[in-house]
Amino acid sequence: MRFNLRVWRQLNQASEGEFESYSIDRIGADLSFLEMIDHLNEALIEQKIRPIAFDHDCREGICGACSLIIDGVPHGPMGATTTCQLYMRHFEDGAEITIEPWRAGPFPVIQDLVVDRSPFERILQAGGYVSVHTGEAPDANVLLVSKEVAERAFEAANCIGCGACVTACPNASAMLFVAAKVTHLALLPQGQPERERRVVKMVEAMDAEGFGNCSNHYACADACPKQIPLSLIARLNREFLQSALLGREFGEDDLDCCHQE
Amino acid sequence: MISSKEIPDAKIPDGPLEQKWERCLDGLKLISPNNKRKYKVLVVGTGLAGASAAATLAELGYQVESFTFHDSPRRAHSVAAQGGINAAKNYRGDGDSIHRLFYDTIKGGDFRSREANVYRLAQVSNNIIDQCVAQGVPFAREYGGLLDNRSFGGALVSRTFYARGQTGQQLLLGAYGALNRQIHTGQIKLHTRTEMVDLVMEAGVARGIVTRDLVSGEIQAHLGDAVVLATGGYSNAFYLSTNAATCNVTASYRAYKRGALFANPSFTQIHPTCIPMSHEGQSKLTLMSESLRNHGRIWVPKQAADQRSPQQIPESERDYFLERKYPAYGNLSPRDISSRAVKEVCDEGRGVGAMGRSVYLDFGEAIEQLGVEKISEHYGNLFEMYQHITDENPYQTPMRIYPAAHYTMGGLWVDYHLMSNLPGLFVVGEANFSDHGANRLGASALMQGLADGYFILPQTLGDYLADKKPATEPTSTAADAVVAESQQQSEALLALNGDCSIRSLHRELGGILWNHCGMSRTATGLGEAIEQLGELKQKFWQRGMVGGSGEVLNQELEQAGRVADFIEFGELMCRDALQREESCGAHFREEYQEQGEAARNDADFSHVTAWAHKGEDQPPESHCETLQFESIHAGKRNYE
Amino acid sequence: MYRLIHLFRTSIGRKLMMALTGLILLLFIVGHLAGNMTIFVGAPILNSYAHWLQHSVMLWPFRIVMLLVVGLHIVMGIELARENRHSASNGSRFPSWFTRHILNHHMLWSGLAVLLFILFHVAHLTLGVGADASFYQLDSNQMMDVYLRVVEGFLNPWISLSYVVLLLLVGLHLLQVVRGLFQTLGFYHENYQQLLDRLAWGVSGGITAGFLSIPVAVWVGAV
Repeated sequence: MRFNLRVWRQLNQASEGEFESYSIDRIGADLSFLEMIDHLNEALIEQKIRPIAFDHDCREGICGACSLIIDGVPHGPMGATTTCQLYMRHFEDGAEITIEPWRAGPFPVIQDLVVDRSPFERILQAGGYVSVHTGEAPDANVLLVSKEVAERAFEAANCIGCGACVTACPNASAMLFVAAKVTHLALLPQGQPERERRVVKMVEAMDAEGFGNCSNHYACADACPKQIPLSLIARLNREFLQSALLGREFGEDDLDCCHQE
Repeated sequence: MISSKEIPDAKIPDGPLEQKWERCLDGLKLISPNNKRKYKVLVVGTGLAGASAAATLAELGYQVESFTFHDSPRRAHSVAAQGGINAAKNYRGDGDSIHRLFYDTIKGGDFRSREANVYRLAQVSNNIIDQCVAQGVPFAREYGGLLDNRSFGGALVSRTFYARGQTGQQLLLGAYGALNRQIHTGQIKLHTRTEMVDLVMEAGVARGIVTRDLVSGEIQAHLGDAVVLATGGYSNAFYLSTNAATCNVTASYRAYKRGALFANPSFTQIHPTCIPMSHEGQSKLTLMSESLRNHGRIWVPKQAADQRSPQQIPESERDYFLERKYPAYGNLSPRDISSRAVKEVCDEGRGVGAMGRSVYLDFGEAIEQLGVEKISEHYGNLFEMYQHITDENPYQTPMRIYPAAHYTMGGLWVDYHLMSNLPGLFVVGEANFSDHGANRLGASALMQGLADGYFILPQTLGDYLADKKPATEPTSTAADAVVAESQQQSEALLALNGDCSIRSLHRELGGILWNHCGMSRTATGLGEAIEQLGELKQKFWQRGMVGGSGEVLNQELEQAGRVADFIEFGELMCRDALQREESCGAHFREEYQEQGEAARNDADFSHVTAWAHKGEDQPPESHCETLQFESIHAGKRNYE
Repeated sequence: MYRLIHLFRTSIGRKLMMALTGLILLLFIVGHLAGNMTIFVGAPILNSYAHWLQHSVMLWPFRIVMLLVVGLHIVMGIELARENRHSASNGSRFPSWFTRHILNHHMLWSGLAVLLFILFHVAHLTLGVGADASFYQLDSNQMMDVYLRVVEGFLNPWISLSYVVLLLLVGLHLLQVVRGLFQTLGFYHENYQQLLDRLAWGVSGGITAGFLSIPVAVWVGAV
């Protein structure tokens, strides 16, 4: 198979990027999309051209590192898959394929197709966990969790943190990501003690990172390689509003600052 | 018997096996909470072992700096483990116990691991499950709300806890959460996209590390009171493996070059159920859960080079070779035994698929007996994954599988406290050699990583620090020297301007190791490999090609450093395989077999071989730690 | 109070504000439609309904509240759109100009259409901009003849056409609003997805059809 590629090239965060065109030939249909770029890179290296940088690691759809917008669609046209699990047989021979990095204000480009997703880290650091010291835990079977609840929590915990939801969203909103993380722990009994605090802190962190608002486009769920359900955003809204209106964890910092003034 | 130097004291506590860990804990020196915060620990790697160790050390009050070359700790390759995690909970009441888990693990490792370590692993396995459940890991549940278990990897009891096909990701998210909590409190400083490139030794103790910032290219030293390596395994030496693209041996290998002993480097596990290689450009092999072997039957045609499609081959012309050779365990025989049997039939020319390097894993009979629905309930997502990758429908045509490099039992030598022979250098998880002997059982890797990280290292590290004054000097001349060396290395790599891409050299390395140091090994083959690796090293430095700049992200440069280390390390693997003149576990020497089965030699090789670096042009020196079995008899590992 | 101020500084809080003000406006529209439907009962009923409204002591308080609600809704909407544009500043170059600027911000554009509609509507039927003396004509009960205003207005093809086009855009805005409302207020659940989708179509379709029925009735001479 042969392809004409339009690839986003950008040396570093400070420089301006642009599309470059490359032709690539003799590509097997069983090659994965990333292997196709490996091939292209080997050819570029031979021509002493700087190879294309892209994030990737496990190449089996679970680490969440790979991150390409292919023909305008995050993770490519297949749906419910990561870029690394996309195969060239999914494309037409001779096709022109446009490859871009994740696009979103909070995800600046580091080089070519590599972006900085550290805002996700800071959101999780703000509260995406159960505070339990090592060694304090009671016997695992003391806590009963119904199969139904465990499975629903698992569906949310399935999020691989790739950021496709953000880049798919015309507002660069991180709601689906935060919703998945909040829901996972909000459903389980282990997550209850910090439930209010967690959602408040994570949403505040999300806002501070400059992600946009959800305006109900739902492009996020279409782009999600793990098919995180859209209804989790409703749950996040519910959890947050409940905690903000009725809980004790909300607005504390604000009160402090007002008192100081 | 090879004359080898003995290894430093492994610090195994006295007393009966069951009490060793408790006695060890009782004897550990403690540090007051006020003083703990004066010590800084550097933890390299944020997989299960690294994240859990960093989080727990921070909880105890140490200052921790944590390093990952990924953009997020959650991308560490622990995330990809599928099957599950073992624990001796005996929730099923099917006769499991700590002793049985211990015995299965040590037998699975073909009696090449330390009794005391393995017993401790089985002991803390139960705490791991408790800990992970408390963190909110969504393990599979029964309708009644209790934890579900399954039998895995040929175990005769159901002791494996799992979260669908992604136990690794869920456990890692738990440890990552614990890590994040400590980052938020400021107790841990996390460095992302930062790769360790060398170890700083000063006055005989590990004093810090040198890292390269992958984005800015800055090479700098980080100093502390102890260094913990949790940098995973080195299966990528084989180029094609189930590991992630960036998994590498660099951190361990640089520590080795600075004086750490490398134990059993030739003990590499080849996993039998992977999707076979289908084309030359392939960059990785995908593992499929071993659980498939519960219902799938493995076979090849009796005739060599049989070109018929599987449906056309009648029952009488099929060879169900695992069932034939190992009637008791059949298709569930341990990984090393199954992998070798698969290789054997393919070597006979009976392999199937375009490249002749695969065997059928057939669900035809299971579908007939249980129906499509039942099979899809068990394996639906695996079948989907297989079809997605291969474009073949396993409900209609048998799956094809072939073994692939998967896990490395070998690693840096550590004592019972998980400290290497270099004071202050600790090694946890797959990066150390400690618990799996010559072969690892399914669902044990996650267990070991978390045991080391949550429960063992955080206790034993304090004992080391208690004797030391917290380091106060912010700089060290030793560190400056290492930084300069690392800069030189980086410049040398950047200067490579030949005609061979790093990937092509890596592929070549993989070919050599897979052919000569893979599933079966011979003295001649290993000798050849050592010679070829020497040539490959020369080729790397003469004809390799990196280019680009060191001051921006340069993925070729990163990979070049890793491949350079892999090439040198490959030689160490071969030397170790050559010296071990027996067959045990995953290490199979064709010269040492009885009626086609591995022949272990306990008289001469009941020991761990640990290698010491002796300089660039000197052969490494082997040391040996004799394995003492006090509580069990090292019997023949019989799965027939 | 701090709590509420703080809440409306968060993204979800602002969305709540949008949803609540939108909900009030939706209820107003439903009430307004119900009132308008009296046109089918006959001119005297419509006119007396209008008379009652005009002379109610609550007229100006109600108008002020509605103005505040509309104002808040607009200010918040623009503020959110501005923020979103900033967040997405590094957006993909790939989708067409139309997708990036119109489709992706259709709530803003259809919302502006709603504003235009309100202004047009108020100018047309309440203020009587550009109307002649017949606009202030009284009916046989000495009440303002609103019935006549409506019928005469819709006999003008330009007014009718603008009314219909803008009304369809209002319907589009409503369609998005109703489903989004459940999501934003946290009531959305996949078990009820179909129900909520139908509800969204039903509510927005019903309201649009209701308002459309008036000019149509005028054209066919039914009123």
